[in-house]
Amino acid sequence: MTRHRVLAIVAYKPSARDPEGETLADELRRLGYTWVQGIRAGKAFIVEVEAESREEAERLVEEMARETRLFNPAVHTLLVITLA
Amino acid sequence: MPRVAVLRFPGTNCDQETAYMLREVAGVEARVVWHTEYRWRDWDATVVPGGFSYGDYGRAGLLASWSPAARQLREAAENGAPILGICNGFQVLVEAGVLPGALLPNEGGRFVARWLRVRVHSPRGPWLLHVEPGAVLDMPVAHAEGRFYHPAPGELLRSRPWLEYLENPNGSVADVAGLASEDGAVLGLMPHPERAASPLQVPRGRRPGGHPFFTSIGEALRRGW
Repeated sequence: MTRHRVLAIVAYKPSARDPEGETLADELRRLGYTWVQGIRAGKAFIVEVEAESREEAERLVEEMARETRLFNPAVHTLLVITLA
Repeated sequence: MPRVAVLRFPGTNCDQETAYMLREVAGVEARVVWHTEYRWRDWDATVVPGGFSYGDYGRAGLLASWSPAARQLREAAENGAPILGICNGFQVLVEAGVLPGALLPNEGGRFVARWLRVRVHSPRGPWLLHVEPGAVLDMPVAHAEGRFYHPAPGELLRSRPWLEYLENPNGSVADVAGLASEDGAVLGLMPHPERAASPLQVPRGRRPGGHPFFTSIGEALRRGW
């Protein structure tokens, strides 16, 4: 068993408006970063996981997020990445 | 005398005034109940009041939905027990899966605290006994995450009681301020009826739109809902 750091990002689906992301994108474009096509704001969690492998660690975090509704599949997307 | 539980989580802060209005306006016995001690069968009805349960960490209502009380609330709803969720209580009911949809951060990106009007559609059930169809009620809102979202609102609202903002403060889909289960036993809303239940709470030019929620539940329970 090794310790893994798993990053879980919960953001809004395109179907739900995201005022934080939209405002950031508008203001950045105003500052001259005209290549910014859009921003989705979200919440990030770094989960310390004891697991056999990276894949196992990611699977555990994803399962936990689904079971507890850490993200709501109706409005959120979930991205799970193991950090080095 | 009917007995009503006012559920308290860490961070709940509208429990006392809600219990007060249940006593004074509804004329029922009301007790504030800590979430780990709540058993739905001990009570004739339950109110989940406003506040910031668990500091709104994660999302408003998320951590409360992990409490053993959430299972009790689901069971109570399945058995037709009257449940009212106000503001954070509405968020808790949605996160716990007792009511459908989601409550997202306000579209304006800010906390809104103001009086407004809601129109009541298809009133029925113990919380809306004294409300006529199409009635317009004055109540205050105070929330940061009150934007109701559902992918198919038309279908969702067709066959249930619901409340419509006349001036939408948060970008809710279909101007939804609150909605109930099909039979009206479970009702959740973002406005605060307990802050509009007595004329003394109401600013000039407004009426106490929260009053009928309390008289309704009082009469419904006395009649043996």
